[in-house]
Amino acid sequence: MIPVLPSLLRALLRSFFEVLQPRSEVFPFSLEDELLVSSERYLANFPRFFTWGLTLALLGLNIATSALLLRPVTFRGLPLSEREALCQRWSASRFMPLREVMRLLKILAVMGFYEHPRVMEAMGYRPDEWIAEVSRRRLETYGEEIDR
Amino acid sequence: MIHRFDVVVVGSGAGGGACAHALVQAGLDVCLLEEGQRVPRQDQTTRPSEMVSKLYRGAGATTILGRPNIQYVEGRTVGGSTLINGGMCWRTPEGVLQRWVERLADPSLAPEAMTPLFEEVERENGVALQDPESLGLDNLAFRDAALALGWSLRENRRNQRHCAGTNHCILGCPTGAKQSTLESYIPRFEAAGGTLLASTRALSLQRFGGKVGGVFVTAAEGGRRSLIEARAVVLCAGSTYTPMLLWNSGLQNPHLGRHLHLHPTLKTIGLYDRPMVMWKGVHQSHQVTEFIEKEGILLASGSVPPSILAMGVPGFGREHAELMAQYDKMLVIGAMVEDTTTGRIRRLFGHPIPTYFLTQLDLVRIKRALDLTLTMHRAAGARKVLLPLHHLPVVDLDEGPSLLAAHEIDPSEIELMTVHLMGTCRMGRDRHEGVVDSRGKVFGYGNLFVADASVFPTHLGVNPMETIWVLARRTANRILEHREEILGVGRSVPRRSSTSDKKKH
Repeated sequence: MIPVLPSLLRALLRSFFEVLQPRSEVFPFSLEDELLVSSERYLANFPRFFTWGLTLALLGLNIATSALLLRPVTFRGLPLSEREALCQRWSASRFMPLREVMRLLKILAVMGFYEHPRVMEAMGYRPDEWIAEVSRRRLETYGEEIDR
Repeated sequence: MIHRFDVVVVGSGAGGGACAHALVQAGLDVCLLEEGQRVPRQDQTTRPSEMVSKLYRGAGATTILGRPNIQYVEGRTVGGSTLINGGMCWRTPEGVLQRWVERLADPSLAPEAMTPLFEEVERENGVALQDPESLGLDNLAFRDAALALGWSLRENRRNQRHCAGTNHCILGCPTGAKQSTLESYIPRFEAAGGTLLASTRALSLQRFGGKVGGVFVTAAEGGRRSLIEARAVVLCAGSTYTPMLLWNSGLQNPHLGRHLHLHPTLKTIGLYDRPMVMWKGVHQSHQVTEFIEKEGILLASGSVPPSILAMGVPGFGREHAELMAQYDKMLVIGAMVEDTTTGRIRRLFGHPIPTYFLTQLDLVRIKRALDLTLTMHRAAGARKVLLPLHHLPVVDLDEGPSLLAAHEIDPSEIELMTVHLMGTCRMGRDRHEGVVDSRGKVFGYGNLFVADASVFPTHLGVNPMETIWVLARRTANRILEHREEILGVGRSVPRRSSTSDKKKH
């Protein structure tokens, strides 16, 4: 049973995933919903206070945006290009906890993204086929020795 | 009637597996505790997000705090870290053993005395060179680059039975070729009558003055605490949790949790015009040994699935996607550095918090290691290289070395990781020098032992699994040689817990 993330955290995560998820002509996919599901599954491994901490951190960034841009706006309310610029700035920050939050968000975004079947197909990455092929070859060549 | 085991071994990785197996083969009644779950071969999938939750402590998101923060990983599953490592098997370097002999005044650690033990564990774990057909294009590119540069190189010896080159070592082994303890020692342990309790967390030890009477445990997901009684206990929970267990049991020693060595590891990713297809072929096939002796730097390639590699690729959004689209033309070269400083494990609410700060000398070594990886990428024909530096993330090879030379590395900008945590319960001649003696017995306790990488008195400079095996075997042999004295066979062990234990729990 996967616990459901607080709706506030889901909304905040989505606004970051829209920026952080890889996108190009090779990967023309918008996978925010899928990334939320995979993040939910991954974050279920951590104690509840971890999720609260992440929510607070993202809420803080959401609100701090207005102070940084000197106008009344939240991170969620910004257009993509401005969110990108802020994420760049925060990722390269000299303030370590901020960098760590951005690192975690990136991990959540890319881990779910590159595991998605459509992305794997676009990359030509088919590990299960490869494993099946070399496993068969291994047993054909060394089966007797392995069985001993 | 309450069952009392002869020995309870905590942790089922390299140390726990080797020790428990040797004890049960000698006829002892042994219980092997493992906090993680058992994930048999058929349940090991190619989805990292699913497997890191099942196989890794903290779902792989474990960090050593310091400057920089260093990511570390350790196994939390039946098989421990042996299930998620690359399976490299190297005997403890002779120079290291000689230093240990001098430091511990124990000639039985000398290379010639240790050779039979090395041979034994290598036989038991199928240590061998790779079959040539399991090498991938990335493995060959790494090897050829080293040969072209004239650098000394060695083929990896790994614990494997005809590894097929699926390159899923970090997520288990879907063919079962890698001889993790899940495939080697544990099946034999169970067949010989040993008891394995998976998903069981050790909390602390029951102590009576200079003896222990068992291990307090709970289910991994929580619940009631219960006691597993034992005549002797061997802790093999790794360099973070073994000191925690000793602290949680009220044990005092000035060296407990200190002297943490890491082998800090960095990786660079070369972008090439030709296919490397790193997911086809063995995880790592060769190591460059040219710089170990004089500079403490070991170079090796290492292949990982895209969703794991992507975490270390700079940028996000379009920039990230354009780099990752070249996954099949990437070669990863890593460098493992012998550290000159040590960190420590601290306690916070009963949990271990590792801390570690790089020294200036380590920084110099890391910069040199980065430069060496650039040289290898150049020899292999790379176009660009992705560096683990926040302020210099991508370089062209033409200008890379000079840019790197001019770049003053700020410790907080480097991305490092480690899989080798060592030394937090180190061996010493007495309790003023260490936590355990040269055969793993905890000072001040007649029947308490440690048999994992935490006992190393120095760093190794090589992958530590084989050293852990032989030290665990030495500890098991010591228990067997002195079984009357240690296990008190025929004598009853006090059943009542001490006042301090009652207070604690």
